[in-house]
Amino acid sequence: MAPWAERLSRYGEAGETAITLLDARADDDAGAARAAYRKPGRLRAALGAGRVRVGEGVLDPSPKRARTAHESHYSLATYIECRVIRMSTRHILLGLLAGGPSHGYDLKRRHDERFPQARPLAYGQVYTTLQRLVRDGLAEVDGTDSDGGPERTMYRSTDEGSRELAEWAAEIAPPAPFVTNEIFAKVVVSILAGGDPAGYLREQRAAHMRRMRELTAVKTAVGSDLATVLSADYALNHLDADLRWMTTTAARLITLTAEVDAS
Amino acid sequence: MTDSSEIPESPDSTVPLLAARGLAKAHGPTRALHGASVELHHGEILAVTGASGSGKSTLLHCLAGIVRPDEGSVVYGDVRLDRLPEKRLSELRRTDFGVVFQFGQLIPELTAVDNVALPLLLAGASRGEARARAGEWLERFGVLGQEELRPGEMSGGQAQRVSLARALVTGPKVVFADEPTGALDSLAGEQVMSALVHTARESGTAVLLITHDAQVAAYADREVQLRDGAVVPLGVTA
Ligand SMILES: Nc1ncnc2c1ncn2[C@@H]1O[C@H](COP(=O)(O)OP(=O)(O)OP(=O)(O)O)[C@@H](O)[C@H]1O
Ligand SMILES: [Mg+2]
Repeated sequence: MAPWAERLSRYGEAGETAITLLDARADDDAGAARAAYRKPGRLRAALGAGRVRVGEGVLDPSPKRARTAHESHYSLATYIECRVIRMSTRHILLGLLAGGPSHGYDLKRRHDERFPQARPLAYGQVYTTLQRLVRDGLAEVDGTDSDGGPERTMYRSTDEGSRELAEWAAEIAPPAPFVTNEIFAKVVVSILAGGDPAGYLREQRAAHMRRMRELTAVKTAVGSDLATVLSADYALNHLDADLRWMTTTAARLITLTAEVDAS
Repeated sequence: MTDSSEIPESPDSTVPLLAARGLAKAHGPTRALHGASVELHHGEILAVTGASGSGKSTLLHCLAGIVRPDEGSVVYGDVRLDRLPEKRLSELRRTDFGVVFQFGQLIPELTAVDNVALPLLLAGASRGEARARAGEWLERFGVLGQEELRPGEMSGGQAQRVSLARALVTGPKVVFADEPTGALDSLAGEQVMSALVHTARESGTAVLLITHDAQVAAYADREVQLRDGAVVPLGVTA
């Protein structure tokens, strides 16, 4: 248990829930985190009133103090929404199981096909997640299938699994309040260290454009299916957002340099 | 100097189709271009990006022989465009180039289909044939049921589609498109870009595409960025 967890538990039920949440996150088990988050509104209200300092994980019940240190403080509810409840492997697997029973290998293959711009799933992750789904009653074993090759365990979704999936799919995702990103960090560090941020931005733009050309080719290829087009669109729009920030930053750097040179 | 008909049909990948070197152009006290160099290769789709006022439109006008640069050269095949007499230049523009201007330039008195048919009529086609082909091109760019609208009755996006159809109807060797999707939403832009790229690839047409939209630039093979009237140099790794 983290050193701050004990202090957290002093906040009674809210604190315990928070520990569950943070543990679940450490465990990469978004499902358990969500279950905890869905506790009655009374508890959520209590959580919302408190603040957690992310670096040390100290619940700070004083909103005023929290505001003065706004960079390092999120409301716990926000923290949970942003960091814990995110696109989870378990819901994607439940979604793939909605079409009928399947085994781990097949699920991995279909995931990588359906979400072509996503990071490919590791087999280990698929099997761990399936076991957790079974543990939580969201999926069950549906016999085995050998199909000529090695024997494989088949899984299918339960009614509760279908309900969980429908609920998750209809839930609004929170727009992230803070964004950190390697590009941003590199530019800031480069400015601080007297490096060549403009040069870096030019090269980074070229790399982004290359990737955007690839994605555009994928998207516009004859016969691309909807999932491919949608995921390429999603990636393109995010790269585009990076690019717009980089363009603005490059322009700001020129103004800055001109001012420094003039003085 | 040669006629446009002597522009080599078969691409020699080492010799650019169109090359500008050291272009300078001032509008009164404003230096729109200074020291801009750019090459467009056979069949290449090249995106030109850069901040507002960086000289993109001026560069396009110089490359397309619409504006003569104060300094530098523009070579098309082996023709010095910047030194070509006006009559030869306008002849070459008509046979080899198609231009989509940033601010419309459709003829207000003519309907969509007649605007697109006009370049064909100038090239000697019959009215019936010209209108039929114009109709096909309008359809390709998603203008359906608006063929008889005049520019004043079109939305900005419709006018852009009509301008693209007009630029491509004669089967030019180079298309110059200045913000051709500037008035379109992203799905409509995608449709228009797909049609443009598809047509260009099919016929080996080179395209110089000005855009401030990276998602549009991503349809191109390559990007050059302008800043203060010159091309931003890229490092060795890019
Ligand atoms: N006909 C003109 N008369 C005077 N100044 C002009 C003229 N055309 C362009 N300029 C100036 O030359 C500079 C470059 O203009 P240009 O139209 O080439 O920019 P641009 O990159 O196309 O910009 P935008 O993205 O806004 O279309 C600008 O400062 C502009 O004010
Ligand atoms: Mg312009």
